[in-house]
Parts: sequence; C-alpha cells; structure tokens
Amino acid sequence: MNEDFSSIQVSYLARIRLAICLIVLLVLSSSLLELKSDIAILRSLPKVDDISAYEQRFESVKPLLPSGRIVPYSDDFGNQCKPFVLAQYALAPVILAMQQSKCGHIDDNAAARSITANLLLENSHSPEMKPYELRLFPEDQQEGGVSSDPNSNRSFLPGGQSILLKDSGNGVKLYALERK
Amino acid sequence: MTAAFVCISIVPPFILGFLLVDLLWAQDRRLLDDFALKCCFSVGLGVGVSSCLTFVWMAFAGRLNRGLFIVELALIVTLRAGLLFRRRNFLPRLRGDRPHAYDSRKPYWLRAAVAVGCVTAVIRFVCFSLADPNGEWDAFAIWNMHARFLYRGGDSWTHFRFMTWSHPDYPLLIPASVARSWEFVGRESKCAPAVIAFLFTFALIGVVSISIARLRGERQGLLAALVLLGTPFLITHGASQYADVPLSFFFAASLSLLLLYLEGNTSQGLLVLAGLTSGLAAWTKNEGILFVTAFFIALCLAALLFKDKTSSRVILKAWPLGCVPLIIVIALYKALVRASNDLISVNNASNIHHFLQIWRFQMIVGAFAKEALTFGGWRLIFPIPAILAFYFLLMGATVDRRKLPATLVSVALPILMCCGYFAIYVVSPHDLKWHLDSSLNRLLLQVWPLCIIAFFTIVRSPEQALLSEYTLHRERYSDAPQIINDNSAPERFSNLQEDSRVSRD
Repeated sequence: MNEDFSSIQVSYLARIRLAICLIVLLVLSSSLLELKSDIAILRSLPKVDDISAYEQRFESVKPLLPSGRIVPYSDDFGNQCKPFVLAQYALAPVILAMQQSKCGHIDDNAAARSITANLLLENSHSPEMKPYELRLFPEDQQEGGVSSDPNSNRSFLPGGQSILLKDSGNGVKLYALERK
Repeated sequence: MTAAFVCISIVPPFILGFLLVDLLWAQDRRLLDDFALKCCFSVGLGVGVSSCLTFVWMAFAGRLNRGLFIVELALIVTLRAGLLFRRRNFLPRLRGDRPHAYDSRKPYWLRAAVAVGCVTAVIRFVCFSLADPNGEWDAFAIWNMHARFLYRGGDSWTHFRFMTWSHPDYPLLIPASVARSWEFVGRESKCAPAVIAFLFTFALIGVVSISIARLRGERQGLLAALVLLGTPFLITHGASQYADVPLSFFFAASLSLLLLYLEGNTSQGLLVLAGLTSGLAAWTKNEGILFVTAFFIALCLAALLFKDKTSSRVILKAWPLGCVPLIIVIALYKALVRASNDLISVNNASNIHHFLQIWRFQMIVGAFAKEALTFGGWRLIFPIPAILAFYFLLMGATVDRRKLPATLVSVALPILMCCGYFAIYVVSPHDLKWHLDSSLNRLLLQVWPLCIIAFFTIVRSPEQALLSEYTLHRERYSDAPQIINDNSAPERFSNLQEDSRVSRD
C-alpha cells in the first residue's frame, strides 16, 4: 500500500502543489507590485482633493441659489462636460441647465419651466488656472477654452435684461434675469 | 470623528441584515453557526433593505428625516422577536455539530497567503479612496449626486429626474444608503460612500470565498479569495464608488445562496434570501433587472432537473417571496420618478434592426474576446484567466450527479448574463465603440465573481483530486476492497499519507 501512495505523491501531490503555488505566487506578487505604485501616488496627494477644491469655487453663490429649482448655467470650458458635472455636483439640489449643449440639457417642458429660476450662473476660467484646475481639466489646456457668452443660455428663458447679483471673484458669477 | 460616526451609522443596517439572514437560515443552526458567511451576506442585505426602507419612508413622508430610524429600530425589534420565537419552537432540533469539515489538515500557508492578499487589498483600497474621496465619474455624476439630492433636497428630492443626462431612472440602493448614513450622522461626509464601497467590496470576496469553502472545501474557498484579491480592477473599481461592485455582490450572493440550497441545505429560507438578493440587484442598477430574468431562467432549469416535483415547486415558490417585494419597490420608484432609460425606451424600439448588422456582432465579439483577458487590470505576466485555465488542466474537473442542478445553474447564470449584455450592445442606440470602451470592462467585472463560483464548483478541489487519484490506485490493485465515495475519504487518505493529526474544522 505504501508503494501506491509514493507513486501518487510523485505524480499527483506535486501537480496539486504546483497548481496551488502557481496561483498563490502570481497573485501575491502581482498585488505587491501594484501596492508599491499606489503608495507612491498617495505620497504626492494634495491636502485638499481636486474636486473639493473645485467645489469651493461655488461656496459664495450657493446660498443665493434656490433649492430644487432649475438654474440656467454657462461656462467657457469648451466641449468638456466635467466642469459642468462637477458644478452640478457641488450645487445639488439646485439643477443646472446648460441648454444647446451635450452636457446638461434639460427637456424644455411645462414642468421644467414651472421650476426654472430667473437666474443665470456663469462659470468662467480663472485668469490663471490653478493647479487643481489643470489636473481636473487637462484637455482644457489644449482647447484653450471658449469665450464666455451668458446670452447663449438665455434662450431657456423668454429673454430680458441681466443684473449681476454676485461676483465671487474666481470666475463664478450669478446674474438675475428679468422676464419680459 | 465623522468617520467613526459613519461606521456606527452602518451598524443598524448590519444588525437588520444579520437578523434577516439568521431568520431565514437553516432552522437547525445556532446563531453563531456559519457566522462569517452570515456576516458577509448581512452587509449587502442590511444596506439593501435599509435603503429600500429609506426610499419608502421618503416616498410617504415626503422627505428624509430621523423618523426613518424609529421604523428601522422597530423592524430590528420585530425580527429579533421572530428569531426568539423560532428558536423556542425549534430548539430541540438544533444540531450541535459543525457543518461540513472536508479538510483533515488546516491549510495554514494558504490562509497566510489570503491574509497577505487581504492586507494588500485593504491598503490599496484606502489609497484609492484617499486619492479620490468623491469617487470617479459615475460616483459624482450619478450615485453621490443623487444622494445629495435625497439628503439636501427636502420636499423636492425627486427633482433630479429633470437631469436626464444623470440617469434618473437608476435605482436608489447606493444613493439612499449614503443619504441615510448622512442623516444618521447629521452632516455630509465623504467617508459614507467610501465605507459603503469598502463593505461591499470585501463582503463580495467573503461571500464567494466562504460559500465555495462550504461547498468544496476550505482550500478551494481560499484559492477563490486569492483570485478575487488578485484582480486589481475589483479593488480599484470598488474604491471608485461605482455601483458595479455592489451589484456584483448581489449577483454572487444570489448564486451562492441557491447553490447552498441545492447542495444540501434544505431550508427554503435560503431561496427566499436568494430572492431578496436578486431583487436587491435590480434595486442597485438596471443590469440587475437582467439578472433577475436570468436567475429566474436558471431556477426553472434547476427545477426541471429535479425529478421530484415537490422540490421543483418549492424552488419556484420560495424565490419570488423574496424577490417580489423588491420588484414592487422598484416599480414604485420608477412610477415616482417617471424617467426613461437611455438604452431601453420606446424611441429605441427601432434599434431592433441592429440585429441585422453583422459588423456590430463582429465588433462586440472582438471586444468581449479582448476584454476577457484584460478587464481585471492584470499585468501582462499575471493574466488570471490564463492561470485559471492552467489550474483547470492540472486539477481536472468533476461533476457529481447529485450536484448536477447546482453545477448547471452556476454555469448557466454567467453565460445568460453575458448573452444579455451582448444583446444590449447590439440594440444600443449609442456609438457602439464608445459604448463598449466605456462599459464592457465593468460588465465583465460584474459577472467575474459568478464565473469564479462556477469555476471553483466544477474544478476539482485539492481534496477531491487526491480522492480520485486514490480511488484510481485502489482500483488498480486487487487488494482494494471498494471505491470510497464519501467526504471522509480524503481525510482517511491524508491521514495515511501524512500521519497527521485529524482536526475537525
């Protein structure tokens, strides 16, 4: 009987051990290699993460925006949607509407019109882009941005004069729109 | 400090989940039997059920407030009372012995390897969470954004339905859980979505690994854990706060519960739990609706394979008990938000003609073939699918006739899911290349734990491999009395071979 077991040991136990060792060694070495690069990334992190830094741009206009209402929005970040999405993320539960854009289109129906505020939020580049902006919107450097045109969004409302309500000094401005 | 409060905020859902799991677990088990497995299931079930409660509360109360926690507490007390009542009635039948103990020797080296893998994965998860505390694109554009609407929105919390670009039709498991946690703490914290993501990621690994250990032995379970821990995309994507990993958790939990039922545990409660987890998958993301359909087909398949009609009826009756309440909640949500889906809407009905475009099929097959080897984020020299194929060749496969329904279900489910995803890509109204590039790796990650479960239930475990070789050798020699065909055989063999101490796990 012992001879049987020794032959099994050579052919089969070795195979089983090889199979298990293969998985263990490859998985662990892969994990440890990944870990090394992750820790390196962690060391170079800024104190405030980029999205939180971007959210702070809107702090001064936030209290002036009506909760649960639609506010037309305009920016000069070109075709990028990320600045708009992050602005929306910062200002929820205000709903930003970026008409004639692929980013924040809102269906122009009676329900939407009934909760649309007579305001316009403008989000322009700072004259000198800050490091977090460069990291968040790297494409922006290539595009160079598009000049701000608050009037492009006024089609959402039945036209009228705009009055500057708040200029936060960092490119974020809030206008009040007068209905005709 | 806020992080600690966030962790505390998860405790009531966890208790709720644990009591629910324990109530529906086998009646002849004690509270602490299968404790680790129950804990892993409890994480997802607790968070899922409490998110449903949050939504139902908001739908009827009009807004999120702390009255919700009174309802939660009442439910916990009711479940505890139900458990006490059941234990009083079934106490004489409680079994004192522990469940399956396949292994004669504890696999210390494998356990150590899994421990190292776990520590590495936890560190990686924390690194990613610190680097991106708001999560990645879908997290801030959909899930955490919706959570902010629920928490900050007051009476107008449903207004995110106007943002058609933000998928307002997506269900609320993640947003409602995050908003509930913020309400509990009393302020918003970036820790809440990260903690929820952490729990789902590691509970998923726990569910897969411990279920396989219960079904096929500890070594096989530990190897499954290693494979998942060695899938970098699972950890990094879990930390990115997308809903794919929680969804994957519910997929894996549903299949595990069904396999545990089919392979011996006769408690119908497990099927009800499987119904709950598959319903919660649909409450996590729209792909979950496809999963519910696929799971129902797989259940019918299992029912057909049972010659005993009573067993077939039990399977088809118990599962809907868990699933239907969730479907009602989802229907209520969809009715309240009235948002159409970007992939399946009346406007897209005309996309049926896409089925006649051969190039779409070619492109999708090509993308599936390419992503299948790369979606996990493995380095070129460590492609886990290739390693698993090699492992399969070394170990061989085994399908016990008694376990045929379970094996077929575990294989059918990932295949059905992939077929469903394939069909969705075919009719997709979006640019196909963009759609495949932006989502296929995530879809494959969703079904990856299902594939791991199927793989490790079919491939012979080290114990089974030894047993089959042993029986072969005994057959060759005339002095072999008969083929041993029970679970204790590997133990006997190992005892003879290694002369080791038998220690029941």
